[in-house]
Amino acid sequence: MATDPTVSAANEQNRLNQNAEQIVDPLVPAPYDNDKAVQPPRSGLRNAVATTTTYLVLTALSVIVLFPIYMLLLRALSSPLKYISAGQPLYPVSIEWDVFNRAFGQASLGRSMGLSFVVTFVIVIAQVLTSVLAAYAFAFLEFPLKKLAFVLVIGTLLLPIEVTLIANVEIIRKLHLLNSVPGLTFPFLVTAIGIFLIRQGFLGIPRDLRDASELDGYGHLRFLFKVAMPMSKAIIGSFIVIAFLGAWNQYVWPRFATDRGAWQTVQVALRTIGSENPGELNLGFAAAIVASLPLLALLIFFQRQIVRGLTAGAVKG
Amino acid sequence: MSAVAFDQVTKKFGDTVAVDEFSLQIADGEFMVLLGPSGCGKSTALRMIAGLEEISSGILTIGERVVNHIPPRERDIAMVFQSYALYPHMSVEKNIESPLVANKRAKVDATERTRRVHEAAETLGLTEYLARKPGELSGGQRQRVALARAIVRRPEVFLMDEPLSNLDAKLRTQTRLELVDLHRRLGTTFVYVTHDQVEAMTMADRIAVISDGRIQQVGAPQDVYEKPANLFVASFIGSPPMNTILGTLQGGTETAAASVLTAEGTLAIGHPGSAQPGTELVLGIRPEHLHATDPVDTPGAVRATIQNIELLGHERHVICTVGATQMTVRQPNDAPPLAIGQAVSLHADPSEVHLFDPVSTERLN
Repeated sequence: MATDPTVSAANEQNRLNQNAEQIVDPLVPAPYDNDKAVQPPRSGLRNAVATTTTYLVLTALSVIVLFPIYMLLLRALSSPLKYISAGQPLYPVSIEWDVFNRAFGQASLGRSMGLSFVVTFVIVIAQVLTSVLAAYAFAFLEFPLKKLAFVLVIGTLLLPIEVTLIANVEIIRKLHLLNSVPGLTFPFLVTAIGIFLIRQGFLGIPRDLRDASELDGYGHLRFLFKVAMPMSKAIIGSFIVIAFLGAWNQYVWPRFATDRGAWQTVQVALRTIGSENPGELNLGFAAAIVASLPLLALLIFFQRQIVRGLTAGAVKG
Repeated sequence: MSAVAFDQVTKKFGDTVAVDEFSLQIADGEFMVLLGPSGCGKSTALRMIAGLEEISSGILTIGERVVNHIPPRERDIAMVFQSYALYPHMSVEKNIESPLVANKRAKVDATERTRRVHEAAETLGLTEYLARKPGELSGGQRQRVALARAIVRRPEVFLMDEPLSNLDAKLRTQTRLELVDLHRRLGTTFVYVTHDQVEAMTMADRIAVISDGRIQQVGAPQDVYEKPANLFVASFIGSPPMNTILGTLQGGTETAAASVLTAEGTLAIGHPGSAQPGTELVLGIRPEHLHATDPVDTPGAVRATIQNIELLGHERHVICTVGATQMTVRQPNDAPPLAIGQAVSLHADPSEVHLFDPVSTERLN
């Protein structure tokens, strides 16, 4: 961890001021501290009430957020018939841990997850690469119609996938890419949100630093990889998480870009698992939990990047 | 050769003229300071030497080469920025060696690179900080890293854009001395931009005073102080600034002394140069050349009232009102005591009075 620069500077300043401090007359009262004077100390009781209220509100909100997850777990672990006949209570009627094994093996969830991993990996790598290059151009290069081009790129955010769905399917079909990894990834290799986010990160790099690197002799690519990207790694990290979430959770496009069961990605596979036999409804719930585990791991490992990325630019500093 | 020459160089941003027909010769090994207020065009001039701003018209030469269209990395110059512009994710060592790694023209082998980095670090007292990141250093240390990064490439010209502005007063004085010492040791051309006249006066071989994109005067610090070319230079150089008062010239020739009639009395001055009797002019008198004496209505002095007295320890500044004009007298601390509200006579050292044309603002004597 880097030491806070302000602390280092303050230490140096203290050292420099040491002599001045030594000649302070101990008989002269310390200057009156206005900040302390205008803020009366809070009473212990008021503090306790405020803390308790905060915790109560946070607990209530947590319950609201966690309740659907609890119900998912409850329905996954309970045998559907026993649970329904018990009147669908809010507590488990029976617990069957074996359901996760069955969901993974029986419904070829493993194969679908493997395919989803490949597709997600390709999309994330491609999106980071294209976003970084485009963001660099929009942040640092001057070219004709730059502003218009940027507005057009950002304008694509206004188009939901459904608008271009038919045209995209037609293109993929004509290119004979249905039921293939290229077919599943093509429409997502470039994303405006990535370009926008990373451009914002690049714009935060001080102009002096760009000038200094130019004088040092960095060309565009060297500056991008040696200076701009390392300095924007927090925002690129959070974009990787966002791209992963988007790619892993794709449902509409994989439904249209595949017509064979072997090419089902995990979200498409989830639709069918357990739905054929009402007695095995819990399999669907269990599969949903298994399918969300990679996302859970991602959120646990990258939560700092996500928060930093989401608040980037929101706070001056 | 590492002289720098501006020949009628102009820089425009749209319709705004930032630098207007600049002509300036900076000699090889000279410490030239570009001095002026914010927005006067001094940084733009420096950035044109660096190649970070394109030149609208004119010719810029470094050594024997016209560099108008040569990219920054090929100009063999190094620049130190006000913000230091260090790479925050790299260690001090990586920062210092970056010009040797990034620039294909300046690329040197690894052994030579390490030798130069350690040499630069030692010169600037950074050896023990080589493994640290810039964020772990104080302002002064960061400034030294920026300097080390500049000297490691052994450039023909050093450019410095207000490099001391972010340092506190004590560190600024210390770094100023270090910079002068560095210039002596390296013997390379330094072009230094600042708005701080103390930095300019204490460091420069010559100062170019700039205002509104134009060079107002170029000269050695003492010459610029003693013989300001116009009212802008007169009021910009010197602290407290030069006192000015309007008056009409009476008598005098190119060799004989004259006096100037002001609204508050007649002030005796030296010979008025080419100015003719009856001419309206602006008198400029440095605070140390103005004297306040007790009996009012002294011949050759103007009437004034003391408005305030600022005690600075080693000296005091007596601020007086002369009619509607404010004038400052610099006195040693042991001068006879004066009181606020007291009426006094102000008289000047006749040979130290500067005369300026009120319209063109140019110097007359």
